Amino acid sequence: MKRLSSVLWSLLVCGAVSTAWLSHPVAAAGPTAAPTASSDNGALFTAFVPVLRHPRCMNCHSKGGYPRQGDDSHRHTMDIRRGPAGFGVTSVKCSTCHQDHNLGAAHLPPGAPGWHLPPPSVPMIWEGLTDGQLCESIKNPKQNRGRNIDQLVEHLTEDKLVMWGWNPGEGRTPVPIPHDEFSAKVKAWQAAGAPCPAR
Amino acid sequence: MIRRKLERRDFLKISVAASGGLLIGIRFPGISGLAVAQSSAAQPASANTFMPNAFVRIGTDERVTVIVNHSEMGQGVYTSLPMLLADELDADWSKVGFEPAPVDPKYNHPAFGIQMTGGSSSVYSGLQQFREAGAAARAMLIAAAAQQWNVAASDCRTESGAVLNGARKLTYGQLASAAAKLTPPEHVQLKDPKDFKLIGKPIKRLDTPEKLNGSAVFGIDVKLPGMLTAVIARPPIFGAKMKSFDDSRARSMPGVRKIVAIPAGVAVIADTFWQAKTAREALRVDWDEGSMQNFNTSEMMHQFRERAKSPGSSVRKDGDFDAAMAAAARKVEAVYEVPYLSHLMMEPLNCAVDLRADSCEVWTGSQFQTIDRANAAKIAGLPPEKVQLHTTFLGGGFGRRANPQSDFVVEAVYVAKAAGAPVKVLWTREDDMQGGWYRPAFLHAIEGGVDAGGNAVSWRSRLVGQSIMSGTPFGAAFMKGKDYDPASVEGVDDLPYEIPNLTVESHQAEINVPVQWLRSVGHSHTAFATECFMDELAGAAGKDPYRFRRGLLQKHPRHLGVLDLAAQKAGWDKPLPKGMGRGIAVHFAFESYSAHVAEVSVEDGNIRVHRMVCAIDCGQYVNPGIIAAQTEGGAIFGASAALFQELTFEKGRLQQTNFNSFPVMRMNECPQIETYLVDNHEKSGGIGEPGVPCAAPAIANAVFAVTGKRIRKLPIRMSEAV
Amino acid sequence: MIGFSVNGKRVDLEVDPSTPLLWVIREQLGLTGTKYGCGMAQCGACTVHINGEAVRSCVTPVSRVDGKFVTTIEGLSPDLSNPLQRAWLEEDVPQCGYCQSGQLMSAAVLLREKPAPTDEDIDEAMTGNICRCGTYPRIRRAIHRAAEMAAKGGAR
Repeated sequence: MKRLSSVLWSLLVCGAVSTAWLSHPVAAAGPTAAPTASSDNGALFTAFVPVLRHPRCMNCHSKGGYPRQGDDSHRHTMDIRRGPAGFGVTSVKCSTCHQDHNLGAAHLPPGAPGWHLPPPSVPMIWEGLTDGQLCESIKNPKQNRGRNIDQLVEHLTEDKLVMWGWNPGEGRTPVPIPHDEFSAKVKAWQAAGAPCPAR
Repeated sequence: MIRRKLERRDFLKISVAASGGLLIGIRFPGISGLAVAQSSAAQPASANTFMPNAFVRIGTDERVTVIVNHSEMGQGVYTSLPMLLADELDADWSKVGFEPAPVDPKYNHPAFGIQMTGGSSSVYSGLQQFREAGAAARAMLIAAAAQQWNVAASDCRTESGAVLNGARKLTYGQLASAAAKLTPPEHVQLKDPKDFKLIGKPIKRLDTPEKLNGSAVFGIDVKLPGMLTAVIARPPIFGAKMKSFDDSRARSMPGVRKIVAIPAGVAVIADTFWQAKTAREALRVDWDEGSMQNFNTSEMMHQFRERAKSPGSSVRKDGDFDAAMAAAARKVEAVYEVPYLSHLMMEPLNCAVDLRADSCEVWTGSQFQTIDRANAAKIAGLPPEKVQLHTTFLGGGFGRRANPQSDFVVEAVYVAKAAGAPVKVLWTREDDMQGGWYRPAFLHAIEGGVDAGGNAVSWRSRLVGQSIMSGTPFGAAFMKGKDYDPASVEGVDDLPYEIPNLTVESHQAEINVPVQWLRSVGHSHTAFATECFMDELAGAAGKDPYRFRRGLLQKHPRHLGVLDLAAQKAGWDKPLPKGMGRGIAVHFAFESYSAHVAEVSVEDGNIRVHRMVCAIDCGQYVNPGIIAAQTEGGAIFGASAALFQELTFEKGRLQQTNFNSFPVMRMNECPQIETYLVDNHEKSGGIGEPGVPCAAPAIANAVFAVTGKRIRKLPIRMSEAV
Repeated sequence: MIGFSVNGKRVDLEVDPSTPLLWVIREQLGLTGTKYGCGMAQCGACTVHINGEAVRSCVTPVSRVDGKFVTTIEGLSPDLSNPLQRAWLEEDVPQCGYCQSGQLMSAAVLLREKPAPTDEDIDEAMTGNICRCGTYPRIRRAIHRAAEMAAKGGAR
């Protein structure tokens, strides 16, 4: 399972990157790029940031080599680890318990296709970042696994694992903004050139 | 019962019903799975076997089958009891196997008078029985050989499954038929312990191979031809009664055969477990919730605390506590609280029943065969001898499978009556955890004093909690006319410390939560309170906790022995790295002496136990390998309770449902554990439970050593430390 | 119809696809070595392999294994020749034995991916498998021993 998912993931990423090279040359990518100027002081970004900062997202975008659980973002029980590729370790991979869908009752493992953490090479840790840093981080292809803005927007609004945040299963709080509203806000931000808050 | 395979690689299992019916379960690893055939043909023991007594059968094929009257729930009785018999028999150990005993008075526990497993007593109560059974068989085999050779029995000797006379040799298998015709001797000579070949050696367990390839049959694995599976919708609150149920949706779901009210609730009987469970979710039951709907455990503890302020039934009274306390130079008071606990065996409760017009067969992991059979017979409307109870492997017992009301057996017989087919009732984990019969919650208030010289002069314990004995069929016998339950106060009623003015009092709480013995019973909570308080007294006396105990145990050499051994092996006086602390505890329970030293660290309120050093003195021991395993397991069992476990009620409803809310220690939390066994020839004691009681106080005392905070409540939470 | 391989044998079953694999294995296929402990992926007693990866069968709908290879404890090595089983025997690991099928199936994946595991690797791999009897210290020793055996014996 892990191998299959890894392959799919690499195909997806490679495909996306090559498409990006063809059709969307990225103007201001890379860690050395200057922070994007923002005429609105990042208001378009902060309008949807509560979703990103919600435990449904942060529990996999937090510090440490492990996922978290619950609205209190406690460390995942059973000492679960990120592992070498974000899919867990040896006999406790994400797919050991998590399916591609939520199971029918509270406290059963939640699930979505490709359930995993960011890999340790690009851990996408958002914990501790200011809004400005978070915005820059998700836009940075070196920190977002090679996504340009269009691909980032697609990830945020269409990826099945991200979509799970709106449908996290019984006993879990969904992310705070309705999905259509969130999508509209992300796209408004994209249309404005994805400006980031100053701090 | 299951005739044990005798060759390690033989996976054939034949189950021969005790009296009458033959049940053959042939099981091969792989896809063919478990097939069980049944015939009603009566099957005598066998023409080709020698069965000199109820405990051993020797076949012409050399196989020695030891019939074990105690249940195997992990504690190793299917190995240690055969060892006793085989040693006296001088059997070839590689030919020795085991078989669970049928239910019969001849398999009654020598002390308790019923067939059962509990009280850590299997080995020490069976010591004489199994050794004599082996020695009697040996004497008969010798007599048979002597007859054949026409020599005196005294000129024959035995070795590794054979009788020898000079160069002549006859194996036990060759002698079995002849020996079967002889009369068992009235008196037998037992071996001098120095001649033991098996007893005292770390012999590998006989039941391990089948536990490594899935072939061991636990109750949950029993499969009968045409068997249905049932789950029961159980009351949400203890004492609730079913008013009505609506099965309009559930009864038409796939595989559902019948939905029927029984005293335990509403049984959903289906072809498979998953169908039954799914249908149960669609069932609507209206309950009369009864008198417990406002019960909650925090209020209960508050009431216990109030009650502990007044005197209770007198359990022990040495000297004059009040006078000594008034004169004490330093006084300490502490109130200890422990919660309800679930046994939480890995294998949830289950019971399979095949009920016929004039017979009933029951398969389950029972610790209480006589009681379970009698209770099953009552519901089946049959005399007990018409009920056969087959004891399977137990996926953990810890006391839960010795239920005074046979709850999990009785309900299965009710379901079988309704099912009209063989049926297995299976409890989900949630059913099991919410089904009651817990270790009772207890409050233990202690006051003590030391004199100016730092000597302990006074101690008063007041305990408040439910009795596990009162109201049970054996309550009266056990309580022996006392106005308190000895099981509530065991471990404090015999406090060994030399304290001249010592009072122990007990308050019995009446609460409609079913409670029962759980591994180490009263000791599971009394040792926590007494051994933590000993540390508090040592603090008041300005003494080291280990040496303070030593000073008060001078008349108790076996307590001292384990205490010193644990302290020495742990390196009590060696400094630990910064951030680490050591705690010690000693306790006597189930005729054995135990001491633990725990090493812990505390970081951000999280307690980590790094090392536990356990010393155990169980007198003359049988299998030190099993003793070490039980002691390690006991320490982990006790540490799980100390660190994680608590059952709480709110508005009558239990708040815990599964391992996520009632955690068990896991691999990454498990400390390094060292076990040291005292070598002596004292009377044998128990081993299944004595490893549990010291874990909690040793850990709590270590937490004090590292944080300076006293732990007075389990499970340990640093936010509640004082 | 769901078709998959169990311990090398092909099975085709008419079964509700949402039924957990555990109950299909135990009740339909009669392989009762895989145990039920919690029904919510908390205890690991139900661990089996799907295409070589450890999976908690109690929360895995049988639909997930369509076209896949399932290995249960009965298929690990029926004659106890797997180094893990041999090491388990030598360390006398099981007490009640109920959790051991799951422990062994988890350990098997650990050793395949990390043939010489450290204590930390063992913690990470085995923490999802509960043992109420407390055999953890012996499981740890047995895994190290099995790793040594496998290393000495060459290919597993």
